[in-house]
Amino acid sequence: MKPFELLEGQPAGGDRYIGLTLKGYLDAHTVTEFESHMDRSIEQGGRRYLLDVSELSYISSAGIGALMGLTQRLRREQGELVLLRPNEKVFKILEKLGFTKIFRLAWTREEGERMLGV
Amino acid sequence: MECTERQIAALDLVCSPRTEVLNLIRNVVTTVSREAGFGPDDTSQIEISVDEACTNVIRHAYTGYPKGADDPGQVALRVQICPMADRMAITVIDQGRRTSCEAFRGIASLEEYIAQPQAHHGLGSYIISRFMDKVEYHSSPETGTVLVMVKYRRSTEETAP
Repeated sequence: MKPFELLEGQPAGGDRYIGLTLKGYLDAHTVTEFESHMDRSIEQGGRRYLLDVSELSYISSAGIGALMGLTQRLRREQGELVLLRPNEKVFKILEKLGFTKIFRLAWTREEGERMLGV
Repeated sequence: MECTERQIAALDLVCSPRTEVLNLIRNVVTTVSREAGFGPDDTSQIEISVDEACTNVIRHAYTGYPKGADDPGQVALRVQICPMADRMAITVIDQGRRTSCEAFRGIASLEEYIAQPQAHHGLGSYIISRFMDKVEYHSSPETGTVLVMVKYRRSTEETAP
């Protein structure tokens, strides 16, 4: 298994939002790749993202910071980021630090789509 | 020093200060933590705290490594893991620029973190202070910068199977 993978899928909603799957771990080593991918995607017009993090096994402050920066950037541009199905370990870290009140979290794809307004 | 007390086992990792080693350090720390009887939540908190401490060293104490500093004897990230009867102590040592002490002074609250206008800083040190029970650091030319983090074993959390 690769330490980090970011897969872009074709969501059921067509081009109304971009569905991504994040696998592996998001730390100081892998965060640059994630940020570069997201920068390119936003420059190409992406504004609404459903990020499946169910197979994200670990996140550090570097990863949380990247998600925070991404969330704030997208909201400034009338976009949104929804994290789909964080696993128990990642959820508990986010919850303990207070980020579950900041990030938008969805437990089903349908719920995520509603949060994205599509 | 925490490690001089009665201990079950101790590991002393000497690593290159590169982000590539972070996952390896995390794997070792979580394995020791589980075997020492810490439950999944505490293990997860120890794991991220050690990761943040090491990341601070790599990013701040050894900024620019390996440019002009290729001697692994002089440029090292050292992690000592000491599980004891009622707690685990992890010591992170570097010989880099003493900015790692400065970098340790993180944000005081999540609100402060969110209020930062652009790039977000200080969350790593905030995580360490939130998740570890005792945190001490000191720095001198003789010892380098030494960060000691202690987590006490809780009797209430379920231990790992």
